[in-house]
Amino acid sequence: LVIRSHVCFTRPFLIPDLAIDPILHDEYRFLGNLRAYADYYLAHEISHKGHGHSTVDIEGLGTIELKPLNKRITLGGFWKSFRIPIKKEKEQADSILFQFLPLKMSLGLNQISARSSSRREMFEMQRSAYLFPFGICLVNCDFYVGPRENFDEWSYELTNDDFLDLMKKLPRATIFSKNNTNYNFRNFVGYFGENLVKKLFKYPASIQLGDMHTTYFLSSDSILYFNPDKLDLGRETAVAIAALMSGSTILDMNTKSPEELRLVLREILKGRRDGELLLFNEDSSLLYPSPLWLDALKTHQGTAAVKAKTSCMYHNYLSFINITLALEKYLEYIIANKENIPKEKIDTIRMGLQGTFLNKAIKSSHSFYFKTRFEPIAKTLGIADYLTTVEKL
Amino acid sequence: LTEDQLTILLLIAIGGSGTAAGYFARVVQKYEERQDTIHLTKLPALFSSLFNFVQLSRAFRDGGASIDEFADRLDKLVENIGSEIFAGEIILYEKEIYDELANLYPRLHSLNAIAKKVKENKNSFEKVFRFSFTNNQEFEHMKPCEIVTSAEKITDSIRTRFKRYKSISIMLLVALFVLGAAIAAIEYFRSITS
Repeated sequence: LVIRSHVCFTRPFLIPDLAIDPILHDEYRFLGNLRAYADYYLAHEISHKGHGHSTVDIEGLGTIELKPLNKRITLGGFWKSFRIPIKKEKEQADSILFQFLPLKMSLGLNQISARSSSRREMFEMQRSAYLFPFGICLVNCDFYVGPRENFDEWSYELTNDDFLDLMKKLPRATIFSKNNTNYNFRNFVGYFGENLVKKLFKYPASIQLGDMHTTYFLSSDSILYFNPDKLDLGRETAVAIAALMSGSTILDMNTKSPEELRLVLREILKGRRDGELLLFNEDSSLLYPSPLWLDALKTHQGTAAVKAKTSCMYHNYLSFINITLALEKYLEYIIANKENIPKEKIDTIRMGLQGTFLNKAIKSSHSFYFKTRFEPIAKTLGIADYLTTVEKL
Repeated sequence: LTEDQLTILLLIAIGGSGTAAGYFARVVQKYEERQDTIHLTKLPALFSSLFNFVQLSRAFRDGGASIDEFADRLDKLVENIGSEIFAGEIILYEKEIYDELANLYPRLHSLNAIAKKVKENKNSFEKVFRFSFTNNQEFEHMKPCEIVTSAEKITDSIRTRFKRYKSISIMLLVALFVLGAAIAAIEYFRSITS
């Protein structure tokens, strides 16, 4: 199943006070006003590190910049579906669509250690957080499982069982930090969130933690395929993937009937290219690029192009997951608390949603990879229902 | 011994050696017939099937054959190869080739089964299956590339057997001629020296 894999844990938390009517410290006041947020975004989206960004000091993490996504990224990658309409309709759409462009906080490179059934492994992980002005922040913990460059003596051969075991243990494994304040991913999100709101608000604000979502991006060193209808082809792959997606073991999944296995793999989404896999459920997603596409790319453009394209695909998917989970959490919250939320806030999000990838942007961006994928994912997460409800609020 | 006794003994010796020579000639003939069957019938048939398999796989890999054509032709080829192996002659006389075939055949059989499944699901898996022929990739726990290479090696072995093959009768005649010539030469030199 895995020779090389990128894995990302994503856990959102809601800041209800930011979603309602926040009283922020002066330097963060732009977060509570969409026009000011758009101005902040435009002013800093092409500036370099340390050039006038607002910062927040968090114990154990140091000074963290609230950085808009770089303009090169927002106009080129996944975010272009939000950023390009802004460019086209500068006057009106600006501030409304800017709410879907998050501020990125880099939380540094750390090490995480976990023991699989056969050995202990150490991983380097990149932590970052994305803060949306409507009151959702998502902490991402991104790491790589597989052989590393310049480690020739280290022959890395993880069995499917080892990999599954690691994936279960990693969210609870200790993250080594500089000041010996050791957390695992799950409680780190709480620690970070509480400290973040402490700095942003003038009064003690709270956070609501969401569920963790794990994204697996598998490399194409081997062919992965299975026939979801009959399971007569690639049953072993199907079993391993089903175990991964359901957080179960291969042994458990092997005892399941084809119908039960199909149920676990029901959210298979048709990839754009032959051999591509994209699976999604509430807890995890799995993305496997087409080996045929990568092979053709390697032949015609070289290995560097393969690396660049797969990295782009992975990061685009993470961006997609981040905003999708952010919307899910936020819409769920405003529906449950519609009496407490100012009408203009609801109008803003409603108008914004009408102008984003659900409607206008999706049509204007022909190469938008997740165009066809959003619908089934939105259905799984219940966003589709939330959207209908929000329309009527 | 009397003259009569000597004559009887001589007749018995001539009769015995005649029978032995006849028996020997029969054994050689039988052996040669089997060798001929293997080298002129069985091995060419195997060569043809395996060569066809290699060519078919290459055509499929390069897009020259559809999965339908590949699966159908492979089915027939595997059947042919199986019947040649199970006929048994090769086991006795070409152990080396037999071992290689015994190793290849189950893999060919599995490849055939997979090709049939892919044929049924051709819209989803044909390209991926084809891809496994180009890049030494695993498909259903087997590497089609390796199977093709093994088949190719066996065709090379068979080709070598063709080149080396000589008729035993001719070899015996040549051996007898050489022996006679050697005896004549020795006798000649003995007569000169004495």
